[in-house]
Amino acid sequence: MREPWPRRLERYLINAYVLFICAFIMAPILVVVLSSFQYGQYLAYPIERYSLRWYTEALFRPEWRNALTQSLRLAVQTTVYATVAGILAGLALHYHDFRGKQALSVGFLSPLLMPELLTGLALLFYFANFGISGTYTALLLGHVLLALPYVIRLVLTALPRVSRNAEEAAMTLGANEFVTMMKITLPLISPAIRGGAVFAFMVSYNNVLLSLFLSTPRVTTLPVKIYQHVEFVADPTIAAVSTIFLILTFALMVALERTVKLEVMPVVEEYRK
Amino acid sequence: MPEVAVRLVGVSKRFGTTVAVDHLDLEIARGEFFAILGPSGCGKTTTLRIVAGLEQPTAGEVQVGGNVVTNLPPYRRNIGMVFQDYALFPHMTVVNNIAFGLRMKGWPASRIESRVKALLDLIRLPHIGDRFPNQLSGGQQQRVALARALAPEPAVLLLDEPLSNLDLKLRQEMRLEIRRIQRELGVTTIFVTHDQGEALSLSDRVMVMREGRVSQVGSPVELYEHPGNSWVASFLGDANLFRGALRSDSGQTLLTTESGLAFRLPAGQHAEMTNATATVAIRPESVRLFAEDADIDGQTGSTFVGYVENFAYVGAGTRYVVRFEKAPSQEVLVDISEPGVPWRDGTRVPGCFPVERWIIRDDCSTWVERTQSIARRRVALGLSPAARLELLAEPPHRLELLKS
Amino acid sequence: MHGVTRALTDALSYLLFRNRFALAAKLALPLAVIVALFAAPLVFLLRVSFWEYTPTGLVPAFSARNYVYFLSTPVYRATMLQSIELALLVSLVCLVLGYPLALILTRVRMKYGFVLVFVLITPLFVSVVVRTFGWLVLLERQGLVNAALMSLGLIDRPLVLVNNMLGVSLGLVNVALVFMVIPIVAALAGVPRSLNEAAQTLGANRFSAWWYVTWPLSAPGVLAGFILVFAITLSAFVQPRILGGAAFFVIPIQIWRQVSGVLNWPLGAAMGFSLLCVSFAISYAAYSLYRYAFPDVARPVERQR
Repeated sequence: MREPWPRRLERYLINAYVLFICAFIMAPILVVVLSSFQYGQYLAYPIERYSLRWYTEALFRPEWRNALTQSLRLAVQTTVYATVAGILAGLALHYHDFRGKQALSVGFLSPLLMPELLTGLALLFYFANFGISGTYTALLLGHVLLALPYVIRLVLTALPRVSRNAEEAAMTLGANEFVTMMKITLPLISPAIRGGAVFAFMVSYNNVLLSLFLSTPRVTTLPVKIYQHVEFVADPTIAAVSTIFLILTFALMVALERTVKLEVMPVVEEYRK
Repeated sequence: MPEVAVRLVGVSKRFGTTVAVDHLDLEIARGEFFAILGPSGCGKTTTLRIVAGLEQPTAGEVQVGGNVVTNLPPYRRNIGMVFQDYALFPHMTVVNNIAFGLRMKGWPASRIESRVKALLDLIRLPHIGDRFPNQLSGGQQQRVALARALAPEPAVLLLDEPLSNLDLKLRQEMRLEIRRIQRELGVTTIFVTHDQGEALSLSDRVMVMREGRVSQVGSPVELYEHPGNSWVASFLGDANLFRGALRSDSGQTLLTTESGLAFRLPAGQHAEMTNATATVAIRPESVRLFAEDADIDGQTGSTFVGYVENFAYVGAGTRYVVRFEKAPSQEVLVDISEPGVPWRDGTRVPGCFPVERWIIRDDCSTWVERTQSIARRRVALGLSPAARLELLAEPPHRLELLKS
Repeated sequence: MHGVTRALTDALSYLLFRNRFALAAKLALPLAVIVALFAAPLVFLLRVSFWEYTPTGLVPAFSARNYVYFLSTPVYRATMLQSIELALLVSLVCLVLGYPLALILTRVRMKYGFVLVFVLITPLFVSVVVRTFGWLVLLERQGLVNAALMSLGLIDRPLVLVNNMLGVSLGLVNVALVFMVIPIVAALAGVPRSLNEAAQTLGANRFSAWWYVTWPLSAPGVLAGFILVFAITLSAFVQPRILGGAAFFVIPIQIWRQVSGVLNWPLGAAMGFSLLCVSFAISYAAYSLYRYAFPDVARPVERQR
């Protein structure tokens, strides 16, 4: 049986629109990957000769390698600190009733509402005032601040879904509060914790603006390096560096998907304000 | 005197201004199957949670196995609990669920393994060890929850409405199962339920609770056949309640209702209460009905004539609603266990209330009536000193009710 | 559990759960982050915005000079207008592109729907820098778009696609679209499909069912998306800087120049707070418009609070 033509037309239009949006979103990412295989010194199209020479260039230049390792180290540390602090905050807001609780939960999420530009500016002056600007610690603290609200929000949405009875059952079976938390509560919200950790990692790993404010030529991250390079010149080297950067992101996502069944939904929910 | 496994002394629990449990005293013997029965909100679950240590009593003392545990957290009380929704850990297999309490106790792995196996055999589900809770049926989850609670050999097993989430057939099956397991292990068990059938069929003793207080404690037979007051009578099974004035007449006690019915009650302890107002009760299955033309004068008891208002055939018998010919405003429930449906709507039937089958007589038994009478007196007398005293003697939450 | 573990976990239970300061014990770390790394720096920034800048250094003071200077300098006023114009343009484009997308995501059953979701959230995991660089590669004079159009013979000379409003807008829409789509999807997901069907059984055609039922009920999502995208765009720095070229100015770029170039921190701080105020003002205007346009939808939302 054939669909009536208005329905078919509608379906075609919808498909075309979805394709257009997908192309629009993916185009800049794909074109970066494509350009990285160019042989020539300058970005020129159509690409006449393909090569991997810019990858060797990127990988053998210590400045890129250092920036990448610093980015990764920063992201891992940010993830650990933000996740621990976020879980603690979530537990505090979930298990205790106190005055000003509502205000506090808004306060915990407020860094999300503040433009990063202002946060960066504030931290720059503040750290300079304490004489720790330009250090790795300053960068780490800034990233933890940005990542923390994401973890808190995910943990807070997951905790009410944990059955209080399961926790009480564990206690009647001889588990004290801490063991109950470690064996029952946290495992039951682990999708949210993993989602929060992924977010924390991505926030830190991909961050440009705040890092730009807090970095120095020596203490820097890969996105900042890429930014500074692009500001100066856009060439195939930077495309190769960006591609390596991207591949690491996707490799991490795929690894997480494989090992811990990362669900996309809590991540999407995260942005539903 | 058997050894006391659980003792509550003057235990109260308030949540803000509401009193959930009000000065509760309770002793449960070792090995006893003890049910706490009551309507929802009567404080029975709170009582259980106080024994478990999941709630702190506002006042009073809790003892388990002779030790005072009032201020101990649940994990130091050596109890096992089965929750209404079973509360199985969804992220652990059945084996790990059952082993949880044993691991907490620090048992060696080999002992845990054999204990878990023994428990799976006990609940007759030896093959489900590797499944996760969401792969089990309701009845299986229930059994696993029971095994998990029993695994660490608790001094007391606490069951919080464990059967209420099962369908009827499974529920009846699990009743027998729980009773079997409890007998086999001889573990002291406290069982909270709102289902009187469960309480009566399972327990050695039942405590009926109401508004945070004990209404009556006794064996199932005592409670059903000698309820302490009309509220217990009507909560445990159905009861026909009649209210009227008591009168002594040549060694017999008579109760006359406002609608003009007269009932002959057992003689004896009631005689001295002449002219008092009382409520009496009789079970539907105790009332007898006869064929239309039967001679009922020879029956011992109060005879009456009524019309069948309605009936419901329930398989094991038929339930009738019979309206009194002499007092058309009143009706009586009658259960007849004869096969078939002997009478239909509108049939005129003679009947009889056997003297010895009246189960209760109380004068101001239910507090609703009592508070009503207080309120009435208050209206009548203004706030007389006596009424004021009565009011002050009432626990605060009852005053709340009075105000409304 | 062994004795040592038991003792340790008992101690931790006491610390985190069983004592009067359990709440404080849990809150200490996260609260320290928020207070010491967020609230305090912002307060400090606010104070700095009232300091005075002299060629020899910063003078702690309390003067509104920076704000007055910022608002009275024509260059900065023009830059501010450019910023607002850009943010409004991007927000509107995102709305026009994003609303149909949200409808498709929630109302149309698609075989490959998960691909669309994946594509939509991909940008969340790809650094802004990389995507902006991609746009540069696409839109440059010798970029892919111009090369493609020229080789197809559609144009003779390269189009100017970058170093102007167009390029910056494209880069920003690309980043911000997902932030428009997600709140609208959330709002639409809360509108039962049966409402739309009920409207149709009552004689509404598909458009009027949407116009009278779905659209008003999705308006809170539209409002949230608009405010979010506007705020993101208004304070965006990387895209205007890379795609806008040397002659394209928005406030964030001016702030950066003050901070990194002339080291006039007080002026930079004042600009930052002015930008924040503008963001609040426009958000409030959008909210007022929303309440005016959808009084029946807006009111129950307020009652809930």
